[in-house]
Amino acid sequence: MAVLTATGLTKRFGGLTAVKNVSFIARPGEILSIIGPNGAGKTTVFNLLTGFVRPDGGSVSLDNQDFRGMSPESRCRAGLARTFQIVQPFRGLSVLDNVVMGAMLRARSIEMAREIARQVLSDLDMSALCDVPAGQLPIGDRKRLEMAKVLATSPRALLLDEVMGGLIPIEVKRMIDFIRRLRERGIALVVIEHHMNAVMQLSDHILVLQNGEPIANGAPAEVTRDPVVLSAYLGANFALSGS
Amino acid sequence: MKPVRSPLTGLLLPVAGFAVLAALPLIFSDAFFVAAVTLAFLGAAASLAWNLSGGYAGQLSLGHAAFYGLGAYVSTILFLKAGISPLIGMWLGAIVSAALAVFLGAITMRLKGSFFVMSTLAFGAVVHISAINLRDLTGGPSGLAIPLRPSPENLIFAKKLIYTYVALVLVIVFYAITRMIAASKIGYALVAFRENHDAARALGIRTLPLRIGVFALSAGLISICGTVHAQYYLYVDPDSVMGLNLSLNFALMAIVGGLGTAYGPIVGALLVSVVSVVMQAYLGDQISGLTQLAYAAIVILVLLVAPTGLGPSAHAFLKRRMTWLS
Repeated sequence: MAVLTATGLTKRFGGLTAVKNVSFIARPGEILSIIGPNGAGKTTVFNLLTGFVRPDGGSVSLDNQDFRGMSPESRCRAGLARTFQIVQPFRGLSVLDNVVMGAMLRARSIEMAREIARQVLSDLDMSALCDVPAGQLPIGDRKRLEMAKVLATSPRALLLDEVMGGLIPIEVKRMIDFIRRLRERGIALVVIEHHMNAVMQLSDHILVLQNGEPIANGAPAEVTRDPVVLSAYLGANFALSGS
Repeated sequence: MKPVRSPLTGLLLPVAGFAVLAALPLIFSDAFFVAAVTLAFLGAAASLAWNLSGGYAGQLSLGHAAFYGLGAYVSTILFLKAGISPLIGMWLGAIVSAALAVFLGAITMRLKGSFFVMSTLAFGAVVHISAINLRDLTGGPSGLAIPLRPSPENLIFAKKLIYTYVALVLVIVFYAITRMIAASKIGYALVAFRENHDAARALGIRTLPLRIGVFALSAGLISICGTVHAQYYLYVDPDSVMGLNLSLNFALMAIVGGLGTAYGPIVGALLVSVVSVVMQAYLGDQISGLTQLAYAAIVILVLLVAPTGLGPSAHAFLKRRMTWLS
């Protein structure tokens, strides 16, 4: 089982420091949520973790393997997978073939990859959609497909970027159940989510970012009582009068 | 509904299709028709080779005529200056083309979309101009003539019909190679790259070495077509084996027939050849340029009616009809 560690991650885009000195540890069988207002740098943290963006400072490691200089492909091969906030299906391909793309990583042949893909799709109750072109799926199913693709790579650590966005309540509930099952499998999970209800139900730890900086870090109950967090989310006046 | 994966689409249909193609020059044995079919087959083989990289990986190359021409020149020069059989020369040409493709690919495959296209266009132009200027080696603009010495080991035949079947063998072999690659992890990885590069990377799919490898294979295979071209015409000159027109045609045939499908380039090559032959036969002596104009109009029309290429569009149309009927 794998421990994902980020240490002092920093990224500047020109004059803007998008991510400043972010550190955390995500442990197997635990869910770490990263929350914060729009533009707080949450997705940039994911891009730094997965190697799509090079950091100006800090490091990422999975267990004891330092990811410095490694490409997104290599990091996925090492066991770190992600979903995209704006889902990235292979539009022209069927749902099954989309998942086969992920399953190829651990399969020796396409036939084997297809077996794995069918299994993953059945876990997500998507078996009926196997032959549907991914471009024709409604948003809820696209989010699930995004999940199915990365799960097919058998990740040891998984980054989920707003997988609840655009889902209707019943779908949110199902997604929460599913993420819990992933936690039980011993995957280290890092979740970016705006859906606060889901965050509170799922998280073992919460990291709060504002303007790229961590402003709070702890158990859900602590973090939501933290005046700094309340003022960041709801404005300084509310935090003062509320406390 | 499960996709139709019956033996019909798997093996039966291609075998039947190739049988029809093989019968064509026997049924219509008139020399003009046989020549047209031969060129259609050779074009289909070249377009199949182009399609491996241009269609499956979506790396649109407009410089493949350089590899085609290299195949023609390498085998011809070796044959004329050293007496080496084109049967050996074609492999050497393929190796030269593949090596050059690896070199070019390693530099340009990091470029995205139209920038890659531009780089292949430039590469094609450089090789074309080099062939014109290296007079001692290539004979310059006037080209090289191959003496008519019919024998199988010279790959020269008195009966033109034999070339038709040589070209058809290339079509069948290249089609089989395409099917094998398309059904493999390599094929899937190429399609993943074409459909969404970032998504592919996020799933741990390493495409750069595969894309370079398939580009090299594509260059090597099309180079073999170039050798057959040289032996068929017994004449090689820069414009006819390396011209930009040729590169455009390889791409066009695949696009018209169905980009990134195994049968697309064959369908496209047959259509494009039939149209251009018919146009030339009926409009050839009328107003000059009318042939090209009509040809372009037909290509545009086809792409308007069948934007994904004739093959896939016909398939989708039939499928709609079937579900409507059932």
